[in-house]
Amino acid sequence: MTFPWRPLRHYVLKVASRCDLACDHCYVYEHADQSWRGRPPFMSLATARAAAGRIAEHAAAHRLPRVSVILHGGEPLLLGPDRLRSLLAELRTTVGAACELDLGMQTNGVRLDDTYASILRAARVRVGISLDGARPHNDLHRVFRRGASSYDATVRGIAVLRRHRDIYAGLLCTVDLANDPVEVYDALAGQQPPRIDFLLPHATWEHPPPPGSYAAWLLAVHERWAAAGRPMPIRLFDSVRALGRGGPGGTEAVGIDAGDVVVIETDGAWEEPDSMKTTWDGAAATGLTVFDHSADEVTRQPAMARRRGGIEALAATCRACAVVRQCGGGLVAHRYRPGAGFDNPSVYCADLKELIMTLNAQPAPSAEIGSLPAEVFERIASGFGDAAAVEELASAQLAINRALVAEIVARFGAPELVERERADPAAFDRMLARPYVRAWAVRCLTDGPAGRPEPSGKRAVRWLTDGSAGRPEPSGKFLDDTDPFRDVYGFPVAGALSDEEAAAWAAVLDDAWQVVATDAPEHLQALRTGVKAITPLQPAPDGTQRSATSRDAFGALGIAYTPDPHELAVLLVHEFQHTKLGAVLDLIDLVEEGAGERLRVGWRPDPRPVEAALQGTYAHLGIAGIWRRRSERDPALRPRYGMYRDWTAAALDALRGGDWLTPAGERFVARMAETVGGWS
Amino acid sequence: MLAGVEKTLANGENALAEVAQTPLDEARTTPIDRIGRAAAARVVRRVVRRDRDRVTPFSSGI
Repeated sequence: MTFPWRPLRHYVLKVASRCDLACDHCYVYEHADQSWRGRPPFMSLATARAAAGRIAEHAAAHRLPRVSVILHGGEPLLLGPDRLRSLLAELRTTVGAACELDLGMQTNGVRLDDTYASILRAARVRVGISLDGARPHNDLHRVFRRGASSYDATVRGIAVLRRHRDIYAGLLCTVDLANDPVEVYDALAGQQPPRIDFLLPHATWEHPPPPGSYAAWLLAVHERWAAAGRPMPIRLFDSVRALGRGGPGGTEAVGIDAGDVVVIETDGAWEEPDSMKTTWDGAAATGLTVFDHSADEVTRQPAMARRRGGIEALAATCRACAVVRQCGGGLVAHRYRPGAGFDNPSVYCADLKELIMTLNAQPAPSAEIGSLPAEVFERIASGFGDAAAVEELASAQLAINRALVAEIVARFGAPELVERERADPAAFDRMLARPYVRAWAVRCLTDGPAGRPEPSGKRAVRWLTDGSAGRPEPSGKFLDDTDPFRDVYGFPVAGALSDEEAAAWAAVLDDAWQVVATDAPEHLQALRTGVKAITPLQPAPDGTQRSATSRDAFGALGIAYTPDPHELAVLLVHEFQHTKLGAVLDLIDLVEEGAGERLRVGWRPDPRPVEAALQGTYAHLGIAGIWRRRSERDPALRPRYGMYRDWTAAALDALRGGDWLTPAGERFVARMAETVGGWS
Repeated sequence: MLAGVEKTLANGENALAEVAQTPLDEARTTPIDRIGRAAAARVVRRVVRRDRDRVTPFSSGI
């Protein structure tokens, strides 16, 4: 049997072969394979360099735009801060030279502190922590060598990630039927993870799992999660749904497309994924090493080819099954039976089938939280949108802020807010419509009221209710140079303006509005309605233009001062295009979830994720429109207009060149294309 | 029947289509201390825990 060839995109790097815990369900130490005993305790820098070189070589040879590397163990934090920093630098330098690199780490969290967090943040490593629920659930398996609970240390590590939210990837929980599924879910949700995944305990037909219904356990979790409004993604459930729609699964555990993962051990050995260690001693071995063998050679190993063989590589029972495309036979290791090898359904076959069929029978959940009147959607999609359309977007943004504040009230209690709404609902809504309220609310909900000096309890509420919390008055109409939550743009914001600076801003803004009226009259009403604040950014050191928009600040634009009103007018239109599209995306998915493709666009050298390409295209449609009008007055400007128009048209072609847009996205892009198609 | 479900005539026919209230519909019309946790959680998930970029920075010398 021959299988189609595909490159490797996901690498698990075993940077430590020992662990500081002694979990009795661990496949590395407690199952059939005992190869860890002969491996070096840590991956040396030389081995890491060789591994990074092989990954980069493979990515370059097959023109992969992106690969992922997960630091794993044993326990990866046993490396220590210095070795970890060096290893990450090696990966970023070597692999990063060949393609984009997603770095992750799976840890027990016991040693995770602010020192490690700062190293991981600097290297942009997203961290997942293994936790099996609340203390009694976790203590069943996840203990230190002498039996002591690891729960407190792990939860301390998770608290570190909550303070460094940008590197908090999520929680991984191994199912144990002895634990109550709802209690386990509630305990995990209480740690505010951005994502949860559930792992079935590794088992084979030779060593079956403890008896009971894993489907019933998982469906109880699903019911609780759905009733709670699906507050975070749960990978197993989302994968089953995505696979049911014909999309990617994004996990090894289910689906037929799950074979792009390979392991590199601490000694540089290429191995099959870890779950194979549950079958027999040496089952994951390939006999190849990063020192002597390329990733291409690994992909040609029969076991690796079979792993990536899709439906054809499955047992006859699986091939005939109605849900095979969603199940994919489960994890390869779970199919093992001595004598018959892997030519069997999963030992979890009945559970997987029940889980998938039950989820398939339920209506698909919508991630969308609202809608727009069709005529408003069409007007905005054409590239413009009048004052009424922007007011519709602003109304939805206010509703979002109301829901966020409701969650803050429910979580932390803020009776002042409830009383204020009762006393004067209209004034309360005006307060919540201020541009940086969402930035404040997001900080409250991600950091917690006591996590940071700001926002903290009553002081945070005072910021909202006073609108000042002791801050100086902003420097002028449209200018907001003092809001403590205005730092949302990715560029540093400027400090409070001097009188002279504020006067210069006011003068150039007055002139810029005149320019907008002349050069972009179809945008003027929308801008006048939607722009409530301009926050000055620090100027770029090299003098180039700098501006930004944040999804967390509808109605505010970040712009570095420019004395040129013509330039400022373009920035206003450009950034407000992002504001409008961001507000649409808050409500309606235009890009399919899980669309991992990157598209080439004329205005940047690097390929862009689909949604980012859509944002850039919408902004450039606005820019091209301005230069079109300018070029009508001054034909010398026609080449510049042509450049922006052609970039926009080419990007629209790229956006329509695949199946990554939702039906609403296709409609949106079609309207943009109609506008650009009418330009000569 | 879900709470907050209204019925509308669809496509000029007699068929009744059920239009469920969205989380934002609920957030618009309900006092903040009575907005359901499930509706609020869906909004939180969408706008706070979103995987995609929240910022569109621009820097150019053109």
